[in-house]
Amino acid sequence: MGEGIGRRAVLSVTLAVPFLASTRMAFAQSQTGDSAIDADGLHRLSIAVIGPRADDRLLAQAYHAAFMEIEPSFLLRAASLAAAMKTQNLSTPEAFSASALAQDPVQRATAVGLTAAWYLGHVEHDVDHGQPVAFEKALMWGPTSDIMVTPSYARGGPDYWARQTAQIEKG
Amino acid sequence: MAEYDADVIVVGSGVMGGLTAYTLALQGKSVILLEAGPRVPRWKTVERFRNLVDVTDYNAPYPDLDYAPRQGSVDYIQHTGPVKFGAGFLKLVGGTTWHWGGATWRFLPHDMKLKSTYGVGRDFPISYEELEPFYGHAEREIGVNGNSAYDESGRNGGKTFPPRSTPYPMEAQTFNYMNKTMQQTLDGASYWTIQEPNCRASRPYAERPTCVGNNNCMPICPIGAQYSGDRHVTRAEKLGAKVIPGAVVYKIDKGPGGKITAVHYLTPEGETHQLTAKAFVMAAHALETPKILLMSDVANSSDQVGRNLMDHLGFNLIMTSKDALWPGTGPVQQNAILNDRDGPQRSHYASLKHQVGNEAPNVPVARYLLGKGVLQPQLDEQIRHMSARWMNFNTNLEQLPDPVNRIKLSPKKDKLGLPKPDVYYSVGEYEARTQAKVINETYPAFQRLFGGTVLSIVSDWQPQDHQMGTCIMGDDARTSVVDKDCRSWDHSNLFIMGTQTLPASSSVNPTLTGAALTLRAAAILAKEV
Ligand SMILES: Cc1cc2nc3c(=O)[nH]c(=O)nc-3n(C[C@H](O)[C@H](O)[C@H](O)COP(=O)(O)OP(=O)(O)OC[C@H]3O[C@@H](n4cnc5c(N)ncnc54)[C@H](O)[C@@H]3O)c2cc1C
Ligand code: SF4
Repeated sequence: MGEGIGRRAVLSVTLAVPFLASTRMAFAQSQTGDSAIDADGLHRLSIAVIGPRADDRLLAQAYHAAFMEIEPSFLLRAASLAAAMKTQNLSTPEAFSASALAQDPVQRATAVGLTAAWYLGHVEHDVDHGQPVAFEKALMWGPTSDIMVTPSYARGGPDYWARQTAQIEKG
Repeated sequence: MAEYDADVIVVGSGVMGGLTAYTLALQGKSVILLEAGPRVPRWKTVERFRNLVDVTDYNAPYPDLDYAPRQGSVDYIQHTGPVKFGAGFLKLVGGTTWHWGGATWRFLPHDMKLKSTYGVGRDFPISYEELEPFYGHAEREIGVNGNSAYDESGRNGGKTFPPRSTPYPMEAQTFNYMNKTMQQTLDGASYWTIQEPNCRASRPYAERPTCVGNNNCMPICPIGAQYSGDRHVTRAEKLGAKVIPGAVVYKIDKGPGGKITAVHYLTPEGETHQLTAKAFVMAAHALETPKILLMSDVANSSDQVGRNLMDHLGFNLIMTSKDALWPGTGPVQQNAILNDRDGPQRSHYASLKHQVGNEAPNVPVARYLLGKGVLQPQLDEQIRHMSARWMNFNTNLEQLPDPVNRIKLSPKKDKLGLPKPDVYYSVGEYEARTQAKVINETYPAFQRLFGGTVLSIVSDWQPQDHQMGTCIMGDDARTSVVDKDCRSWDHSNLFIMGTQTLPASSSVNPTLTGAALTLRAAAILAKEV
């Protein structure tokens, strides 16, 4: 919680997107869902939208609890997305992104809100306020983890970074 | 009963307070270190970091207490000027270097004689040659690695500069792939890229393990490979110095002959205490030191206390390069591009340093892509592609001392009833002109060299956390607060240690210069008490 004028990774602040606020606005203009999604439902939806890297039941429960705390209405929107995906038999990110549903601004905003939580490792109101869920297991680190380090964790010992040329140049 | 509570009382337990207390304790002097903030073990900060919402906020893992507010604390600093002053500071035992970048540069001889060489700013009252042995001493105490053969001025034909009588105590760390590749490209285009001297242990050093590249030097090195001010505080304690955390100094007493006789502090619960000593050292950094002096009407016959506030002025070019360079492996910063650090242009243009950040960029990259609505199955691939090509050019400009930029006492009070700092901060023509030149000429050149796609040029002044100047050093009591020994012109037993005494900012990080001046002054003080 701060004044927000410190020297932090500049773009984190300048590019801060209020993920949940945009899903909220989009949803307010559409019909309301029936009832909130439960933790198991959120787990299944996460796998369908994100893929196997989101197949972690304990984490799904933690994200569910964080949404409940920060923005319970998101769980209604998630229920609506889950119902629509079930009706259309969409159970993978590939199938979802190729479907018309992914072009629906309301449903897409919900998918982005859910993905943002898993990738950034928290459910947020804004860049400073929210509920942390995971650090090391935030999904944003995975795509670079063969070369980069997840900050604060050690890998490879002293000077590992000087020995990566061949691996990097291989592509 | 002893005549004094201690030989010397030191206010503030950051790197400057720690070095002072250690130097004095080593000479058998009794020392009390008063520290506003609490004591926090390293592991606790690492744990707090991993449980943050915004892991890129360097201040967030550290305590922000109503009796010891840190940078970023809501409504603590009262901004009254056209530019918000955002420079960072922490309040805990060990001070702000718990989360620093660890860059430990020497100033150049010209940096210290700016007025007489280039006709702008002010001169140091001490020359580089006189300070040089203490730079070496500071490098050994802090444990610095670097390349002793480097030309750190960018203007000495590649030969060692500034001159050094002792080598860096540790060999330079190796460059990662990004830095190696970038250096080849830049130097091929007549830039001058070097390895930044820094205080990460490149081999086991003074109880510190070798750096293993956790890429988390800011906000916390999890293994303590990087130097932080608590090291010398602990060493001083082992030699008998006493540290009192939660002691917020708010008043200094003057006695006969202009001598300082006592300091007063408040506990978090609001109890008051008074301590006496033969001599006093103010090492509470560049914001709080002048605040305490102003509250006490001490050391200010020149009316310069709190004035001449400087920081390095930062701005950024963020782009993606054509080829994958892979930042985010090894320590968070390694390089510096120094072509415009020195030269006759400084009569009109500020000295500057560019640096390409090496922090793992996954947070801004993921935010950027999610903000554009990218989802799986493309998201992972795009995070990888963009992170491998992320280039954050950060430019630091020298800021000239200007008495209008100043800290005053606000009528608003904090929880202990002490005035909050009012900060008037502005940026002059000299610096603005330099920024325009960099954005119009240098940034497009960087873009061309790396086949870059620009994501953003952040031209709002970014604080670089290097506050300086507010207890300025000089050779005339009428225009400065301390002399070249860091001694108050008004009070012979009052010393002010740290970057707040610097009369010029250069474009390189200032802590090593503050530490060299501190070690020199502490040795003088040790002979007097
Ligand atoms: C994110 C960041 C990165 C940085 N990177 C670099 C870098 O790479 N290289 C570099 O040279 N510099 C860097 N700096 C600057 C560097 O941290 C400072 O120059 C340095 O910490 C100054 O040391 P100090 O001992 O004077 O002050 P501090 O380390 O701030 O210590 C001062 C102490 O005084 C205490 N205090 C304050 N008020 C009172 C009071 N009223 N009573 C008692 N105690 C009080 C504070 O609690 C604090 O512990 C960086 C700073 C930040 C924030
Ligand atoms: S790279 Fe890692 S081990 Fe090295 S100093 Fe930084 S945080 Fe510490």
